[in-house]
Amino acid sequence: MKCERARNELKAYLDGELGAVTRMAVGLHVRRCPSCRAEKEALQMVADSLTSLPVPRPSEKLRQAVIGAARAQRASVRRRLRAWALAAVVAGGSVIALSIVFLARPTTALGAYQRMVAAAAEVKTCHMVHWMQPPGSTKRETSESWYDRGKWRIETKDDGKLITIQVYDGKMSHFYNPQTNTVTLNAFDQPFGTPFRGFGVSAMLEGIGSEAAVKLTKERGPDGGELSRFEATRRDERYVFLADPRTELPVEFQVYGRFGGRWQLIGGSDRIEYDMPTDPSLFVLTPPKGAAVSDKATTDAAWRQQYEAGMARTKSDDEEVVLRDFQVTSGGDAFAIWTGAGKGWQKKLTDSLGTIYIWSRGYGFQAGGDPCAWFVPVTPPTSRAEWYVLTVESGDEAFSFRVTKPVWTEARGPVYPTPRHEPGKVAFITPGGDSGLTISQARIRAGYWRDKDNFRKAAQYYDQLLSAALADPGYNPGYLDPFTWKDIGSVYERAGMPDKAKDAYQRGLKSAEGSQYEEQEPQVLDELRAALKRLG
Amino acid sequence: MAKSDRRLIGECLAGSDDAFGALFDRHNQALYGFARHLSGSDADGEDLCQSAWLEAIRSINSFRGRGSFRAWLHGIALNLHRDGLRRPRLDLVALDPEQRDPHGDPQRAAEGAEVRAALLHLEAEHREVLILHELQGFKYREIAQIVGCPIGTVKSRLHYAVAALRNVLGAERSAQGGRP
Repeated sequence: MKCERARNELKAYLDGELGAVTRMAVGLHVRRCPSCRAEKEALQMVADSLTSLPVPRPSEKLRQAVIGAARAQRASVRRRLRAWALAAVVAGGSVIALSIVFLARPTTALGAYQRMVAAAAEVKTCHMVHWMQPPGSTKRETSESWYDRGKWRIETKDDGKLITIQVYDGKMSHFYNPQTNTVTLNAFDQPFGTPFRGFGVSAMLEGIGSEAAVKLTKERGPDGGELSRFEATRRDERYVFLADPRTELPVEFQVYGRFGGRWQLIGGSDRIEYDMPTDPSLFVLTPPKGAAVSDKATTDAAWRQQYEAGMARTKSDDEEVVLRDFQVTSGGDAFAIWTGAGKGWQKKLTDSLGTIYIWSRGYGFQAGGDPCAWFVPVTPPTSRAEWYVLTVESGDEAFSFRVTKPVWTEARGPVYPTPRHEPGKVAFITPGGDSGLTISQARIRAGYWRDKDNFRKAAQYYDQLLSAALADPGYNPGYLDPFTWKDIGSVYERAGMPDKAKDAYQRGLKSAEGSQYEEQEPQVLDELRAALKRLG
Repeated sequence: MAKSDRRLIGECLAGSDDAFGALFDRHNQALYGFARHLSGSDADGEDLCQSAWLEAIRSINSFRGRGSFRAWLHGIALNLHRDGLRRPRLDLVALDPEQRDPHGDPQRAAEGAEVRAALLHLEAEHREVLILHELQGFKYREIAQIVGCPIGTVKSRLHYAVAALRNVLGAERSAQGGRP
């Protein structure tokens, strides 16, 4: 992807409004291109300046005026309705009733699709199992969910292993993480993060249907009954729903993605059940013994207070700079947020153990307008450091913070370990998927050793990256683009591993052929072909 | 469990005052915010918001349920605003200390006023999509319904709107000699 195209898509990219393939292409471009990355940060800052505006409060006077007017208006409508009802009976009410039924049941594919959406929004109970199938891998169960009249439970899994449980009991969401043995309580009422309407499947259907081209055909179900088959295609995503024509409810769905011009099955749900008895205990989460329970509202408030107060202060060019937050994860990764200069400045971290840190300039996170940095240790430290020094410098201007009591956190995932979106909308950008951290770290470490000409060591990290990426059903294969495959191949080649190098070049060429790279970045295909020729 | 909007609308049509009260309480904060940002002042915002509710009451039986009630309501307010019922009045959005929240952070209040004023410098079609997306949290497809244009147009308008807002803010900040 070229800069001009990427910039046109940046706003939609930040808003999460791009299809899977363009999203991937923009994401990749932004990670490679410092100027587009800076542009993306600038756009985010402008958007943040709007969202930080105080929320205007309407007056009580407005309420009184509108409610009073509504009362008067409805009294008049009631009188008119009574008059119409009388007139309808006299002048053939059945004609009116029939035309309403006809209008409400359009026969087009989109109309039938909308009826499926409406039916899904009204279900009382529902049970579904989701699975994913990364290209070149096998089908794996990724989640199971139950819904019963406003209460729900979602268990995320990987190959049968429980990852998390989230239960919404009608008042509060309870999020259990068995790995950390913690339960987080959160008073929000939107399952799947979508506005509440029936079960999550309806929100999904609604989102897809309004922008997609919908095709409707009939097919036979496993029991010989007829099923309606909806194929909704939106850019590079295709959803296929099979619905029972009697209930108009979806009973099965598949998701396809278009990669390199080809549609590949990437996930779905084989059987969606409705109106079955559910066990009430499913919607109660009893914290396991020894689990730490925390209330998100309380921890958010405490964190906000601490964030605003900061951890250390210094001066840069006579201006006070505050270190807002500094956290170190169990893997030794350090995250820092400070006020003041950031963009284009060098960031360096040292500690009392002499650990070598790589400032991961290719990945980042945002906290309002404050600069942030993520540091990855070249090798994870075996003990905790007593102090850290963060230095930020550009030309002859520099400032540094010394931190003796960082916040230790058990966070392992690719998430800056803090309440998200408050106060400055902190969100960490990662390649996605459960293996995100491993993949990002392996990529950063491999790059470090490659730049030091230690290709054997770099190859070890690429081994790690590939085994994590290819085994993760949530990992998006688009992140392994032809350029990355070329880099991986060249490291293997220079490390004296021709077979692995050949495999990487071949995979890269396969992913490039028939894709947008063929047209937009033809040189990468030539380079991959030349490398394969070189290796015989 | 809270009743859905559709259910409340059904009850409203059947004559329930409580159902209308519930709909009002659920959506008024957002609608007022929209009207306030669109019109540029508290007083004009209240007028526009009230007019939109009155129009919604008059035409609630024409709500077809394609898209959300919230989007439909915002569409009414936008149309009223466009009809010239209310026009933004720039003079009301000056950095008047009296208008600032006395308990808030003065720096933040000043920045807020600056951003609000910058919004009013944008072209109407850019301001509309920016408010609907960034402040009201609508998705592109909902904005397309409200504004009455294709999704691609929403996307490009937002792209240009952010760039324009950035220019206005950038020009004002450098004129004040502040840090970028």
